[in-house]
Amino acid sequence: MSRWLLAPRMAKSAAWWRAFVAGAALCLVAPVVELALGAPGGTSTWTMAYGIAATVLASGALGYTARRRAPRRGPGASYHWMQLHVYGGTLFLVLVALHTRGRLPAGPLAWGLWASSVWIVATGLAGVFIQKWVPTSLTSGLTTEVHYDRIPELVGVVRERVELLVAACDDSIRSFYETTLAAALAGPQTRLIYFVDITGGIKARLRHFDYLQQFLDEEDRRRVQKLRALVRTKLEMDAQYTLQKALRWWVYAHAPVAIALMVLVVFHVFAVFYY
Amino acid sequence: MTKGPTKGSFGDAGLPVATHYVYPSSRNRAVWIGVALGTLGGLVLAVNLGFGAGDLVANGPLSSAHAMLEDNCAACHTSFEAVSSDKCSVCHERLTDTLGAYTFNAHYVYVSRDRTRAFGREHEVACAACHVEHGGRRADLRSTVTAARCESCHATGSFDRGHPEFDFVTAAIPDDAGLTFTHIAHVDRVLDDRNDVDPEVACLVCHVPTLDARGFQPIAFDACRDCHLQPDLESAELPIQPDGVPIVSVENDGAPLTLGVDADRVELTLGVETLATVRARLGPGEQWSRRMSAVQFDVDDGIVVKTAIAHADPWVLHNLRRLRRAIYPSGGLADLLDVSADVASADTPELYAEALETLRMQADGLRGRDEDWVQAALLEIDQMAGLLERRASDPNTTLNDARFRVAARDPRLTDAQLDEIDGFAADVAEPCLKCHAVERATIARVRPAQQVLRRARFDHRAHVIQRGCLDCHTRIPFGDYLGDEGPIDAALDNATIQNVPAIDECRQCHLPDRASTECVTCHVFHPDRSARSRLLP
Repeated sequence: MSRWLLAPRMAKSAAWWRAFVAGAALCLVAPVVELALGAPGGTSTWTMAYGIAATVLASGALGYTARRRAPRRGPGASYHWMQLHVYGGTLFLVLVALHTRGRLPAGPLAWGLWASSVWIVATGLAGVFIQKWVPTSLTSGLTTEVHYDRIPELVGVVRERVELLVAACDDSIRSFYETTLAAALAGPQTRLIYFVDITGGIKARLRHFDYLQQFLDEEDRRRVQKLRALVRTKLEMDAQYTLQKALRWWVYAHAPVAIALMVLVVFHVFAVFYY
Repeated sequence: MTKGPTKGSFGDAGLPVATHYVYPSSRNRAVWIGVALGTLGGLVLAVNLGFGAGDLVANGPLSSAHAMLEDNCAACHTSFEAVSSDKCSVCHERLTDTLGAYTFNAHYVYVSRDRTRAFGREHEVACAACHVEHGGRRADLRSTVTAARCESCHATGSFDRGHPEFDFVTAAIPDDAGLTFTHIAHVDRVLDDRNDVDPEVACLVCHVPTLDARGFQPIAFDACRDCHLQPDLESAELPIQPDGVPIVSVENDGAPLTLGVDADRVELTLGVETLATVRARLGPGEQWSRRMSAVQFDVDDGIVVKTAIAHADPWVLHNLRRLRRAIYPSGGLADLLDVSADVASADTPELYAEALETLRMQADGLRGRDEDWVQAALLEIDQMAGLLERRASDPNTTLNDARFRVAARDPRLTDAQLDEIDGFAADVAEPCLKCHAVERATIARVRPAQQVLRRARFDHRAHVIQRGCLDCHTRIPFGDYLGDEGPIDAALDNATIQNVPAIDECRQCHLPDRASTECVTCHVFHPDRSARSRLLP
C-alpha cells in the first residue's frame, strides 16, 4: 500500500507522483479544515481559494502546450512540463469539485465551465492511457512498423506490387483479387477490431489464401505466397493506421476544449469581480 | 517467399524507405480550433452580457419572487462591487433604518434581546450573504439559509450536534399553574361519552387545530361548559355588605393611626354587594347589573345566594374586585383585568387588549348620562384608553406587564385581616374553585395558548401525519391510568406538567440523514415586522 502511494509502477516520476498524492491529500483535508475554522464569510473565501488554485493549475497545464509551440526552447525540461500537465490537470478537476462544493452548476456559463473541465480531464487521462497503450500494442503483434504519415504512400506501393503480381497469374487468382482483395488494397482502412486484437483480424482474413492454395499448381502457389505477404503487410499497415490515428486525433478532442475553457475561465473571473 | 529487408527497404514486404524527412502533420490546427471556439464563446457571452439579458453569464435563474428582475442585472448588481443590501431595500424594508426588521441589529435586539446592539455597526452581514440568489425559480431564499451561516456566529452547532436543551426544560417552566385540571380524568370522560378507546381522539375534542393546522386554537371554555356549568350551580351563602359601610374602616377617634400599633382600630366588614345596590349606583363597568335578572338572587336576612352561576359571572367578579380593591387600594391597571396579570412577557399585549376592552365597556355604559361624576369618569376613561391604545399600537414600544400587577397592599391591614379577606374571597368564588385558583381576591389567569417555544416555531401539521400526539407528549401517563376508577396521584397529572418533549425526542428524527437540522427550520432570523415589540423581554 505504502509502495503504491510513494512510487507506483505506472508513474514515470516518483517525485511528481508524490507531489500529486500530497496535493490530492491537501484537497481532501482542506474541507475539514474549512469546517473546523468555520469563520464568518468563510465559505466564499474558501470557495474562491479553490477556484484560484484550480485556475493556476489549469494555466500551468496549458503552459506545456505553449512551451511546445514556443519558437525558442522554454524554461525547464519538457519532461517536467509534461508531468505538470498530467498531474496538475488531474488535480485541477479535484479543485473544481471543491470550488463548486460538489454540486452540479447552475447557469449556462457555469455548466460550460464544469462540463468542459470534466471533458478535458477525461480526455486528458484517456490520452495518457492511449499514449502508453498504443505503442505497446503495435509492437506486440505486428511485424511491420511504419510512420503514420507514410501509410497512404506505402499502401500505394503494396497495391502496385500486388497488381503486377496478379497480372501474371491465371484467371482464378485474378478473379480472387478482384472480388476479395482489390477493395481492401484501395487505401488505408480504419478497423475497430485492431483496438480489441491487434492480430486477430489479420489472421482471419489471410485464411482465404490458405484455402485458395489447395487448388493451385506450384508456380501459382509461389505467387500467392508473395501475394499473401503483401496483403499481410497492408493489413498490418491498416492496424498501424487505426491505432496511430487514435494517437493523432485524441488531441482534437482534448486541446481545443482546453483552450476554449481558458477563455471561459477568463470570462468567469471577470463576471465574478464585475458582479 | 519474401526475402528479408535489403538496403533502401524495410519490412517483410521490402517497402521502400523514405527518400526525405517525413514531417508529422501539424497539431497547431487543434490549437487554432480551440482559439476559434473560445473566441466564439467569449463573443457570445460578451454580446449576451452587453446587449442581452445576461442569462448566459448568470449563475442560474432568479427565484420566483425576483423573476421580474431577470433581465435587469443592475437592479441588484453594481459593477465591481458585491451585491449591496441597499439595493434590496429599494423593495424591502430599508436596511439602514435603526431598528428595521432586516437589520442585523434587529436580529440582536429582537431575537437575541441584546439591546446594546440597537445601533448599526460597520461591516454588518449583507442580505446576499445568507440569501443566495440564482438558485432557480423554485428556490426559497428563506429556507435555503444553511446552518453554517448561523454557526459562523452561534457556536452552539447544528440541531443534532450542539443545540442546547429547550429553555422550558432547563428552567423547568410549569405549564398552567392557574388551572386545576387533570388530563386523564377528562380523556376518560370524553372516551366514555364517545364510546371510543383511542385517547388521541379525545385530544382533538379540546385541542382544535388552527386553520393552517400548524398549531391549536386557544382552548375555549365552551369545551368545559357542558359538564362544568350546570343550571343548579349556585354561590355560597354570603353576607350582604351593609349600605354605606366600607370593607376596611378605621375607628376615627381623632388620633393619627400608627401602623402595626393601632391594628385594633382597623375594622373589616366583609360582605357582597347585592344586585340592587349595584343597579342603584350603576358605576363604570356595572352595566351587567341591568342585564342580570334579580330572580337569580335569594336574599334573606342579610344573606344572599346567587343561583345560575355563569362562567366569568359578572356579579362574582364584581365582588372579588371589591375585595381586591380593599387589599390594594391603588390597584391601577390591575383593576381593569378580571383575572391576574400573570402572562409571559411576550403576551403583555393581551393585558393591554383586555384593559382596553374593559375601558371601552365602561365608557359605553356611561355615555348618554349627564351626571357630573359620569362626565368626569368618562373623561378619565377616555384619556386612559387613548394612552393604552397608543402604547399598544406602537410597534417600537416595549409593553410592560408590571403596570398591570397589583403592588402595594393597604398598609393598615394585618396579615390576619388579609387572611380573613382571602377566606371570604374564596367563599365568594366558591363555584369557581373547582377549576380556578384564587389568591388575594383575584382569580389566577388561565393561559389557554401558551407559546412554549419562544424563539422558535413548531409546525404540528408537519408532524402529526407521521406521529401521533402521544408519541411526543409523553409526560402524562395516559396509557397507565386510562380507565382506572380511583383517583390518580396529582403529581402525575396536573395542569402544571409541561407535557412537551425535550430536545432528545426531536433528535430521533431530526438528524443529518433524515429530517432537516437546518436552523431556519425552526428559527427565524428576522423579527415579525408587525409585532416586533412583543419580542422584547
